[in-house]
Amino acid sequence: MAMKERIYAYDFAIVEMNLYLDTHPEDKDALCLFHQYQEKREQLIEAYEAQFGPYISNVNDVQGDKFTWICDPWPWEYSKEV
Amino acid sequence: MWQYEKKLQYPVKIANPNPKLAQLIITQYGGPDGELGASLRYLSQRYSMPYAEVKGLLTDIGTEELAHLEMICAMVHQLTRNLSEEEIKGTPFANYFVDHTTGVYPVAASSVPWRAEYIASKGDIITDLHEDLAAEQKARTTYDNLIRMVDDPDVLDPLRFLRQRELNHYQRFGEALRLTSDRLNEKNFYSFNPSFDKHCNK
Ligand SMILES: [Fe+2]
Repeated sequence: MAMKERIYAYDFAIVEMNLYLDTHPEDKDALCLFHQYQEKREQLIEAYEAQFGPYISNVNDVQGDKFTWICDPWPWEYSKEV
Repeated sequence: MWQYEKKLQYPVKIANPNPKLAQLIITQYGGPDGELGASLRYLSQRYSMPYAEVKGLLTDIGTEELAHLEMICAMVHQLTRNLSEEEIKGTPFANYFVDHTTGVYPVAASSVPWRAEYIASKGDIITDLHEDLAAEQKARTTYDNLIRMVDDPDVLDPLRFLRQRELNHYQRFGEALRLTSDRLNEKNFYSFNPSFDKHCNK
């Protein structure tokens, strides 16, 4: 799996754990897993960004003189890149 | 408040446009059991919830539904991009095209525009959670029906992801209902409004 897709997978696992923790806020095993996923995600993002630049564009990324937030592609646009 | 993340929750990469499919799939944006109604239903209901877990759950599921609405719109957009007039003429999509060109507008597959009557926010935690459980099942049935109509794997993949999310949301809402009834005086479960009549709490 490409590195970006692995980060997506952790993003998703964190959303799913978040919903589970809403109704099980004191489940220690789940809290532990939640932290593991968050740490793993941080590590992957760090590794990704060292190689390829920002994982997801946000309004704070200004590259040189350009406000890169507005750069294509937007998420609904089909693109072949992975 | 909300902040935008410039990504989809799950990838949508549809190689071949197909306006007929777009007209079916758009129902999960603006139809009776679509993602637009889902997000507004949960985000509206959360204000009258007496319990922290349920306030959290409605906020988080309501937010996830916004991400689902975005995936459905991305599917409709990709299924209708770069169409020629010839590809539209004589298809069921022609009716939509006359009204909206290839813009994305919240309508049902049956072409009825989105209506607030599709959702309920009753100010009663028991009533609202039952609405939510039914809503998740109705959305799941709709995804099942869509999946029956589709054979393009690029379209099936995100539809299957979204269908599975309805099951997980149903499970969480079931837990929210259990947490709620555990906190009520069991003589009163279904005869008071725990969001308003505070005496029916244990
Ligand atoms: Fe849902």
